[in-house]
Amino acid sequence: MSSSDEEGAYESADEGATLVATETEVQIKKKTDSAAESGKTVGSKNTDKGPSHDVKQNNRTDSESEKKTVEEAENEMKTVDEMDNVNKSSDATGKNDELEKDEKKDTLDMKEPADNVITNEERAPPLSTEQKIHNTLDTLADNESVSDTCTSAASSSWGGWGSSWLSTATASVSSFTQKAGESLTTMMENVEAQMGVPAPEDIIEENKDHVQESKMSDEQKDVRSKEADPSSGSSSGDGDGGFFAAFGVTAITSVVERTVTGGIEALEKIGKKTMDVLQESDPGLRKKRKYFKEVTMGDKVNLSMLLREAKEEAERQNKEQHEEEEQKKAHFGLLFDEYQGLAHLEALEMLSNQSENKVQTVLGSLSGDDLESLKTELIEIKDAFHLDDIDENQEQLSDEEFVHAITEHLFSLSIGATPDKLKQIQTKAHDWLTLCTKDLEEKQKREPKDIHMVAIQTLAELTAKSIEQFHKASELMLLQQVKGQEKKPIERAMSLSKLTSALCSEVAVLSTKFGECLNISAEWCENPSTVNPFITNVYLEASNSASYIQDAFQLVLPILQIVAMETQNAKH
Amino acid sequence: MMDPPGLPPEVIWEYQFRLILIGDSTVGKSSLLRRFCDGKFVEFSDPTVGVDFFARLLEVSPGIRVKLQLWDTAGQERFRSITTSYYRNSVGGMLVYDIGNRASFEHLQDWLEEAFENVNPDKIVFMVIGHKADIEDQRQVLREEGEKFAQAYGMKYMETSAKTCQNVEEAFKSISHDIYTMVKSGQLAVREGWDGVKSGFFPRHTLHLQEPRGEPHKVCC
Repeated sequence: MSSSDEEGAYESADEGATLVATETEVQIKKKTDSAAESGKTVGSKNTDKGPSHDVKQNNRTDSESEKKTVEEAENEMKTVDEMDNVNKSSDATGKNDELEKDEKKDTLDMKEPADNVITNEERAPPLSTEQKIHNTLDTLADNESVSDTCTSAASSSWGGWGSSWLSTATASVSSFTQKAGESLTTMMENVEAQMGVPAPEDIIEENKDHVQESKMSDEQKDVRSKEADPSSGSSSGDGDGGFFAAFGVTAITSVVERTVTGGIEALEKIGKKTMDVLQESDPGLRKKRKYFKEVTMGDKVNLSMLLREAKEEAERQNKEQHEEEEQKKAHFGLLFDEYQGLAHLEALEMLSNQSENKVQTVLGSLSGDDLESLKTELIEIKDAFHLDDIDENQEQLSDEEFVHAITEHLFSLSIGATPDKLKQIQTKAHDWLTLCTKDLEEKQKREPKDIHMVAIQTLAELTAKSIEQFHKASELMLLQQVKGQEKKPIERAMSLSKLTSALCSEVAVLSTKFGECLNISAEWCENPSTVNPFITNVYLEASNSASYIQDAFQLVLPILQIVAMETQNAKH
Repeated sequence: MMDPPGLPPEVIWEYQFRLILIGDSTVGKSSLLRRFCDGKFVEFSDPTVGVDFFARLLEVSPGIRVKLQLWDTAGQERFRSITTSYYRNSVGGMLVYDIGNRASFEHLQDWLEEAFENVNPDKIVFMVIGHKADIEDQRQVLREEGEKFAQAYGMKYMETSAKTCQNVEEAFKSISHDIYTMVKSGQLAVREGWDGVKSGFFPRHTLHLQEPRGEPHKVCC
């Protein structure tokens, strides 16, 4: 809004009056909107308004200004109506001149007071401005509607397209405003219906007023802004601005502010109701404020923590991977498989099942004394395969005793098997244990993790090799039966049984020794409780190991039985 | 198949194929396997008693690992009755002869017949290996003869050498790939009570089953 020192101009010129009136009305509106608090009248209005509008308005009463406004609005409406009429009638090319005249008249009418209002600003001569507008409109016409410009001469064509363009513009604007108005009303109705606000007729009426006004002035605004846009780009932009300011800005401001106030009013009501609902169970919105604060706080923390968490995650994964590698090195099942214990067990199982089938077949084909005598022998062998509860009643063998025992029992099988592999594992394990115990006694630190790893590896290897031994023995016994031999199956069964006991005993000895080492190492550990799972695991796997060995031993039973049968057959 | 959580996919094998190596004594079955699995070669070794075992992981297709469980049977005649027991649970095998030993080649027919008698599934993938390809000067069996024999039974043929590492990887890759193709197409399937093809071993969350500790796999070539 231009600030004017020449106050006299307001009184004489209509447009000037519009300016004042509009502003006054805005003030009134503001005042009435906030009616609850504003017991103030004209005086407060002036202070609100600022220094640019002063003494003169004091002479007027509120009602006067309102009257003025209505008059002004009517004037504006007339202008727009005129334009509409012109536009409608100027479809024919013959009326182009008329339109031109009307437009010129309009602009010229508005020009004078504008001069007065904007005194500080430089103005370009009106004619040149018009010329510019025409030129730019021509350009626009070229862009907008090629067909129109094609039919008429360049100099007179602008009116033709101008009319069509204007009518289109006004049509669209009016439809827009209409829609906006409709939607606003609809919205209001909805809100009222939902919130149970008593139907305020005055609001609707006001809305209607606003819609009408906005419709009128939006049209003008549209026209003006289209005109102003190209001219403001030119060198004489300042002058144009002043020129159009007189015509438009006042009206725009008035309408926009009216619309906005109307909208704000509606929104205020919605907002007030919303606040009421929100505060129903939460006075002062303390809880909700706290919640939102937490939410935003949380976001901030997350943002900064994201990187840290990612880093920690990566570190954790690295550690886990490392731990998994470590655990793999100390996993009984995996190591047992790696030492081919599982394969030998499977192969032994195959031989055992095959032998079992053969035994059943032979038994089914026999009868009488033959069956009885065979049954007796098979039961004898089976009894020899019964192991005492070795876990409890076994005296533990010393290193030398173990080697001696397994050598003796393997030899007594007389299949040419040697205990080399078993002996090697046993010696290696005991050497390591001796060294470890010595280190621990000399207060040298040994990682419980490493002791555990060696323990499991030793157990797995010993178990795997034991089963391999049973498998090889079975194969060799099955082969030798063909040749026929001196050694009775029952004797072999006894030897195998003793071998099994010796092996299980060795497993127990080793697990005890490793357990002792772990116990001592725990004393040097920062956190001794971490050693307990290791100790538990060693004993657990030792028990697994003994089970594997005993299972393998039991698998040999059908093999020895079939050997016994074949031997008996050979005798007959 | 879903990966167990927390385990990189490379530690998992999709299938286990059980392969059996058969052929006359001293043709080099154990040496071939030791080269393939341990990357080692020894000029002289003890004859195999019954059966020995080797294992190795192999990638048959991008991202698909299989565990080859290799049964190294004794070639000696006296073990025949035992070794035939082991045929049953194999999905395939290698018929190995020594190119410098004519008799070992001529015995292929017997080995094959014995295998066909004892293998359980109708489908079994065999491959003919002319071993000790490094002793060209002592060759008694022409390459063409080996190829012709293999072709007659619809098998692949390769000449390998554990000493020079020639075709060792290729031979196992080839047979594994063929088996995998058949498994994928449904011609071979994991069956209850048959261990020729076993489906993947998924170690528990805390375990890894990648490469056997201290067993270098690809020392070859």
